[in-house]
Amino acid sequence: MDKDLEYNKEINIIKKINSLFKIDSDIQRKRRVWITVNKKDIIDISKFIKDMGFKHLSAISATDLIGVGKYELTYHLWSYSDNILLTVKTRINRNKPTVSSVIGVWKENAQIHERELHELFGIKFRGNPDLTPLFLEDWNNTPPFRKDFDWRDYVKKEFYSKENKREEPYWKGLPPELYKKRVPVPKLGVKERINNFREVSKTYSEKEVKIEASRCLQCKDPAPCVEACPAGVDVKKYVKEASDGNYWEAMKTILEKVPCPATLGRVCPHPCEEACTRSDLEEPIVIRDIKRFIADQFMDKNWYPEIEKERKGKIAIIGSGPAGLTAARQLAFDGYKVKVFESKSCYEKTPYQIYGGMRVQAIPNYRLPPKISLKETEEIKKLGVEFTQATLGKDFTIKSLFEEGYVGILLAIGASKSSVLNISGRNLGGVFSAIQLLSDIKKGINISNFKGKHATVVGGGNVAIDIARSLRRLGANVMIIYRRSLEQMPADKEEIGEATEEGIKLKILTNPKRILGEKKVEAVECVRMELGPVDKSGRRRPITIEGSEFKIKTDFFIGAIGQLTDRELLNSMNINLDNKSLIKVDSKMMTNLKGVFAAGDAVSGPLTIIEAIASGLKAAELIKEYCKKKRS
Amino acid sequence: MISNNDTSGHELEYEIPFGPAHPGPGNFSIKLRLDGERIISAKSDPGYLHRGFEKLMEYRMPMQNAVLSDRLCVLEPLSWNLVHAEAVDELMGINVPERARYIRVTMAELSRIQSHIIWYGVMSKAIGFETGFMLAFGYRDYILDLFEQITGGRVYPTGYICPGGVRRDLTQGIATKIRTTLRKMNKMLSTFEKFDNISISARTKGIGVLPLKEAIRLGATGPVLRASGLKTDVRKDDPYEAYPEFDFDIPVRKEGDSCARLSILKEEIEESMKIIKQALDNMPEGNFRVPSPNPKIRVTLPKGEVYVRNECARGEGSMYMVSVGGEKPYRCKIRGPSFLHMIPVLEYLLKDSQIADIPAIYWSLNVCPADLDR
Repeated sequence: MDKDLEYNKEINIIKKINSLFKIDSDIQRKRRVWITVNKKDIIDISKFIKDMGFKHLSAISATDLIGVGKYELTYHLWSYSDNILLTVKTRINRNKPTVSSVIGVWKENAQIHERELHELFGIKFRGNPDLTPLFLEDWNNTPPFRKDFDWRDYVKKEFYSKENKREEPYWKGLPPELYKKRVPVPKLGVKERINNFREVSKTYSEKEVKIEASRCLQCKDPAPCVEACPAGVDVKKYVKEASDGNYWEAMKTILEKVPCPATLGRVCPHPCEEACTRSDLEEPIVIRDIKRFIADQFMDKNWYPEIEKERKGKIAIIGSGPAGLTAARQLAFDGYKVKVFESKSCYEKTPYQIYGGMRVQAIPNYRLPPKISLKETEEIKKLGVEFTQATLGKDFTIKSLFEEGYVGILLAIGASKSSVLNISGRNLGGVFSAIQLLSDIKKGINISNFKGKHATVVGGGNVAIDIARSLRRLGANVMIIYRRSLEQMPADKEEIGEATEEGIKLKILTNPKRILGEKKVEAVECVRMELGPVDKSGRRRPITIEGSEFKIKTDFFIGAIGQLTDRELLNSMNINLDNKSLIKVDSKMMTNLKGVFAAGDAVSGPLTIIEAIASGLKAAELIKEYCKKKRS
Repeated sequence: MISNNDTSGHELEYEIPFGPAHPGPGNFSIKLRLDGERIISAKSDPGYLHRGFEKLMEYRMPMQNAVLSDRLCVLEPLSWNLVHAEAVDELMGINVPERARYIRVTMAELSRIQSHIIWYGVMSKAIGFETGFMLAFGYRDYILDLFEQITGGRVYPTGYICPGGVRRDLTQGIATKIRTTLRKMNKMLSTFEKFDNISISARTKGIGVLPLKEAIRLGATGPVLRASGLKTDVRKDDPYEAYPEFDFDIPVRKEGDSCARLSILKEEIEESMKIIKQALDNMPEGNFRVPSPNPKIRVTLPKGEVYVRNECARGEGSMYMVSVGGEKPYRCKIRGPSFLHMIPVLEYLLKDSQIADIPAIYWSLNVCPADLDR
């Protein structure tokens, strides 16, 4: 009896509802009434109980009763007047969850709760106008609160979907050190290479290229390698194409910017590799040798489609080095009539082809076989570019070219004169300049003189290493003298390593003071140096240590301390030069003579091949612009 | 976004988002359509903080869920601890020892004061009254010091209020420290009083008026509903824990504007202090947790379902827990107060208001995107 009194209110509510609807009821405890109703009655009951005072809809919830194939919907209602919580339960089919919306009874409150349930359980509320998801845009069409929702599967689909995933990890089946370290570039052993001019490094095999190229992380744009390349070659793209095996696509990507991929694949100083993201942690990708492999695949094929355009505007390009060739090619693409002039003097008696500039003239055969540059020049010839052997200043002048009807002239004459060491004894027999000697060796002149003799090379650049290694191949005992420390040597670190392997001695922090001898070189007097404060170029300036002179016995003395442009020749053409004997150009790369452009090492001083190509690309664009302006 | 919309009669309508930026409205965004400075319509865009608590709880045992329930709302983790603990207690039929009940009430009320101080702080900051913000957050630290000493965590108590009681007994001498802190709170309230006319009311009076009828229809609860004029409080109407044993009032305002909600806040702090003092005075001796069943050991939740309602600082916080007789709950529905405050109520209040009043309306509702998104 007491209990009845205590639960008076609760019992009354149940009785009231029971008088109109068929329900199951339960009083859980004081103020907690649970009723179970039929799904069809839900709207009518809602209206009825709201009129009874249950104005506050606390929550609508659902439970997935997977065992019986139903969803249990629960409406938790609160009456502010009676202080009773009434929970209305109803069951709906789990596979076709549809129920009438109570939005007409509890308005916005019900709307939000139903919207949530629609997202989490997929229940359709008939009459609810807005059931857009509240929390996530997409649950892969599976309501997450169903008990059969596989969240592991969801996570897999969501975070490891096909677009986000590599097709197959490139390291699959490989030992772990292979993907952390670069695939070693195949090379000739020291004994195999030391007595001949065979190419030292070999081209990768296809398998090696695929492994190496798939190490590429495909950095987000702008990729560091692309940014680092002076010529702007899309490195990221062609490495990806190489890893996919689309070598022709990769070749086309490279040829967009550079005319000599095979040469670059061998001698490029690869600024891209220094910038590679992998070099932060492990070894960078061997981009240069990937390019070499790609280029070597197409040595017997045509590189460019045939251009059948009406030739307009004559352009003369003086110098057939990388800058000149690049500009010639770019202009030929656009339908200009291009003629390339190469000087006679450098290539007298050469058994090889003559066009190609310094790489043909001076880069030794063990680094760059002649047939490589020959192929690249041949391809440019096929584009309709004419090549002539004529020396500027002797066979023709700039004036005569304009008279012949050339619209624009590009001076890409490079820096071909070796700088001369300003020390006593430089006129003795046995003193050479590096470029001249390299050229001679390449042509096969006087190569038997060096066997068993001592040679001293001064300088730390690539030319110094080239000449030292060439002389070593001719049988000389070579020593390189460099006035700064090993870290500051501008030559490639790999090349320095290879040179020391071949038995070339390096004497750093040493400077020649004078060359001793009567008619012929007998010895070099050197002085020790130490590193002082940082100078303008950012390197520590070497300072002489007084009284540390010593003598090195030598038969040949070769200076490889840099190159200069031909000052006298340019002066005779009335071209303005700056104090370093470089051609002065304006922002349009034009010299003081109208219509005469300049590019390459002649403008920038001796730099690398890829920088010369970049300069040639830029010059070609500016010449096109100039010609268009002139025509209109 | 600018769109020419001729049909609505406005020449130029702007659609701009308010949020989501953490220092702004929290991890929450409102899409506003504006006609000049007037808001034509506002649409809440939740979901930036959805962590799936309801699903997570289905995969965990009650003691793990107690720790999880902290994270439901950053600003009042102890209140949510209590909601969860009560649901499990009721489901398991645990009779919580009297001392534990008192400790729970003390902690819940301290949590309420702390949350209301944050409310005052962010509200002051929102209406450009930085001093109030600094002052409030300074005083909040006194309560965080208490939490640190009692629960071990300054903000998250890592399930201090757990099924069966509380994790640890009150530390020695804490009662004195709490009383000292309450005196500091008194001092803080009197400082707040001084600010009222000069700084706060100018920006809040008559702003964001929520009539009682609309408040009930939109599902407003707690302080927001009381500021609109309905004298209701779960602690009184649907008593839980030791609340029936305490004497306290329910502050009510009739105006229903931002200013009324702010004054409710201050009065509620006073009432909470009253409760804490009574709890400390009458703190019974005994166990602070039921000795058996030890909730730390794996327990089975008996088959059944409960719906627990609590008065959290920002409104009604409820939990619907279903068990089919396993170690883990079969279904856990969490009903946070901000769920309705941040969607229908906010959308209603922002409509036709001025853009400059958005902060004064938004933060006067004492909302938290964390318990909306769950």
